[in-house]
Amino acid sequence: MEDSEKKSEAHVSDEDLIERFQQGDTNAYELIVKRYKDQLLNFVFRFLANEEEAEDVVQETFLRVYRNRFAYTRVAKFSTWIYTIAGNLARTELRRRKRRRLFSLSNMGVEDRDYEISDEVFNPEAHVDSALQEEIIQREISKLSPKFREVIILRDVQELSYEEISKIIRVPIGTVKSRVNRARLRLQNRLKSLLEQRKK
Amino acid sequence: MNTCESFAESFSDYVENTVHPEQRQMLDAHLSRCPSCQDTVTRLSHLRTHLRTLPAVKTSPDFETMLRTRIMLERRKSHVLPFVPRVARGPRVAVYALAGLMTVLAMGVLVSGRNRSNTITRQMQNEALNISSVDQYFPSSPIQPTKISYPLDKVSPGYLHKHKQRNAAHERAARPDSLAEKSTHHLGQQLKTSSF
Repeated sequence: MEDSEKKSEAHVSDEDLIERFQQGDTNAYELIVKRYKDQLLNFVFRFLANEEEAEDVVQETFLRVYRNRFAYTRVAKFSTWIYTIAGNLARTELRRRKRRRLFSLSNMGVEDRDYEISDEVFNPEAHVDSALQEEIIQREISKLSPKFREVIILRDVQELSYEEISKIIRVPIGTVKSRVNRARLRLQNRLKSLLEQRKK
Repeated sequence: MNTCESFAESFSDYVENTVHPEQRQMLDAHLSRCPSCQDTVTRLSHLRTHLRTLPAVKTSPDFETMLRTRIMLERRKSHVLPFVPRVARGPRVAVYALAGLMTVLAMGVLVSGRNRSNTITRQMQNEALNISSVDQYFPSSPIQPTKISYPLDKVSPGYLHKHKQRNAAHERAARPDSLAEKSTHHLGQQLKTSSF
């Protein structure tokens, strides 16, 4: 009985769930949380490169969904709406972090500024394990400007369509495509040694 | 006429197979002549695979509990924490603040429970000073009540009835196992043993 209920719930669309939640069904909200918590965390984590901060942003996203549930209308896809909220919050967090860094840099010695190492100096070992590879990729993603970072994560990590990305970040599809292409070109240029290992 | 740079604008479409057939032919022709662009396209293709296969992170086990707590705080925010500055309303800070508040409240109830039992007794003691038969309730009381005498013929029957009732109530309340004592003692024990 419970299994069949779970199966039927799995087929309920996000839009139906939020509508049920708008009518007062808190179980529908819990289902939304279960459906989106990990994929949103992946998106925000790749954007901020900090798991704890990312989890806080995802919590805040769900809190906003709870608070502003009546602001959602069926005109847009629910996923677009929730990704827009998460993206905006992640960008805000990034700006906040930059302000904090600017403040702390003034009290820091040159030797402490490890994230300012130039790309030329960085030369990864010939054989790196997957954890290290991930770290290298993540570090290079973090070096992209937020507008490039966001689109490449949404397209290549989250595998969203250009159309949906265009709605999430509210820019034309052509601009999204151009940004994705430029972000990829920059990344492949910075990750040459790692990507060429794969070729061999 | 076309430079590598202008071809590069279509590399993403090329690796995603969304490029127009005519443009594809032009790109293929260029790539066959330009090893540098060929390498770039190969790396772009590998990059996409890398990004798609990045390990997925999962939310912590207490994620939903934290969220429920935050929603609960959100509902009660205006009543419980109207004075908390915005900077202190961070997600984790809020949960810890709630936990701290609950601990303080519980300790407050415990302490006030103990004091309350004393307060009741003192209050009753003070009230009892106004009646002449105080000695039988507090034989060891150091405070000596003022004796007031009422001539029986001047006291109305209604007053006597009320006086008896009041005496009986004081007698019940002043016993150490009175209801007030029992309830505060019971509440204190419950809070001691309960967990948050």
